[in-house]
Amino acid sequence: MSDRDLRIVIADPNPVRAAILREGLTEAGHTDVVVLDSFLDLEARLGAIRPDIVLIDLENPNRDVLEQMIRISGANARPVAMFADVSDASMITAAIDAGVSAYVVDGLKKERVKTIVDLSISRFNAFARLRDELAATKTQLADRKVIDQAKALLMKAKKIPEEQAYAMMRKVAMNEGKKIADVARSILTAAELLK
Amino acid sequence: MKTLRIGYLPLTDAALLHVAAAKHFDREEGVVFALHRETSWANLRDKLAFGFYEAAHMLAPAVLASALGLDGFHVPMIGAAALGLDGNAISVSPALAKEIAGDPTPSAKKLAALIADEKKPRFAHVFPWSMHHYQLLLWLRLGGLSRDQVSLTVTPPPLIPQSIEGGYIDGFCVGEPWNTFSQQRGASQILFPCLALMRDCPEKVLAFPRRAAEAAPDAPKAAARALRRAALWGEANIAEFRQIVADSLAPDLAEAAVRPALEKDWLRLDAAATGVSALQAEFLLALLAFAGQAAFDETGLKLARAAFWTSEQEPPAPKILGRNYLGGPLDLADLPLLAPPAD
Repeated sequence: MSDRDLRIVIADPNPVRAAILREGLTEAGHTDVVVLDSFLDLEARLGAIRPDIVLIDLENPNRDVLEQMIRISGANARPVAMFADVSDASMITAAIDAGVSAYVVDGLKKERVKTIVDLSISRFNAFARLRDELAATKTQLADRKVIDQAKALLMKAKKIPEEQAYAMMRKVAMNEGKKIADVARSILTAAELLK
Repeated sequence: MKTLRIGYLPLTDAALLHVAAAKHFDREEGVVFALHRETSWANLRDKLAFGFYEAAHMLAPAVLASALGLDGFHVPMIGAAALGLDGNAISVSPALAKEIAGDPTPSAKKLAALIADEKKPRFAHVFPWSMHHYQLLLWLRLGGLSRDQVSLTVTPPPLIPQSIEGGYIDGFCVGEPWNTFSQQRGASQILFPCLALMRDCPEKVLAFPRRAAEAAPDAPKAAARALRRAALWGEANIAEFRQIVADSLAPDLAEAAVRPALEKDWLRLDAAATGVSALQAEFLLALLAFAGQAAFDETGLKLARAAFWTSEQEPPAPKILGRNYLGGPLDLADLPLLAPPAD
């Protein structure tokens, strides 16, 4: 059986993360990848697909369904955390950190399992980074907006040019050990109260 | 002071962990409970095994399965204290309730009569090694049904209402507040609390990895004392105790879904219910054997007794079908093996 023949199921309710993982698997030559779109009746669903590997996000309560499935005679599968002899402990720890788990049918070569789990870990981490960057960008945009508003307020109230208004806020921020955006928010709050 | 990262599932029987932390019984006993909400028993087991948690809210039968090596996981757990006794119920779809509603034996017999001419009904429990699984099997047995005559699966409690509404399952055995929650939504009807089958039955324990617990037994022992004190406090402060429990499950689960089981005393969270006994360990092994998961033998008994740290104050003896469990394997075809009815 070549790597290409492995049937892999992705069980992740986050469609973006699932797409990122599928793309990674495809790039690595795995074309038989099924992304689940519902988790109801999971045992029957997976029974019909007969995957070699199930990749599931750790926050998914359906992990317990998989735990039951692998106990049924004939299913012959196990969670990847069970491969945990000493050499694999770091891989499992990395998988838990990244938030992904895998269930693997017995008899698959360890190296192949490891390659796929490593790929899942890196894609889950990439997704987490994307999400963090997106959150950071959103915060930056919001910060810029309040800074502009506070600056305009200062310019009007004190009849000073823009650079001077900004310099004032920056000085207060440095003196008080705060972010400029926080100082700007305080100014806006105060202005609202003094209206 | 040692901080214990403790994973738990959103269930009513995580109560004592929350109360101990809220009332600082943990700190007074020399440990700090840092509670982390989890989504599956599998996650709790994995994170405990790989050092992400020091302790976990865990199904007592899953602790035994790990001690017996049945889970293939090579990281045996121990139960240092019980988090309560009892607390499950069996529910079925409203359509099935119309046909079979009643006490355990009559409902199981009616179910058996239905099966003769219909497709296999499908019932859900929560984990391969769980009281929920054994209670379902016991109920079915009362109707003369073996596990092959129905279809059993696992469904995570949060997915229960949708699963039963979608017709994927016909009934289930889960812990509170999920039976009440699903019934209030109109998805299912509670047939009976599992007290009708078993009473003073071990349910969840505070589990530690055996190696860590044996290397440093002070922390598990301190945690056990804190849980007992939380339960003692609860006995004297029922209203506030219930409020802490309800708040711990909010906002996902409304207080109205949490309170009924507490008010009807479906689960015991009193001080005696936090104790652990060798008889309970034996009872658990008898249940695993009843389900065909383990052999009831000397080796198993030795491992079972080692997996549960017995407390000074003994918990009440488990009762099954109204009789005291006195030890030994469960042979339900041969009820005289069980003691006469408890008082």
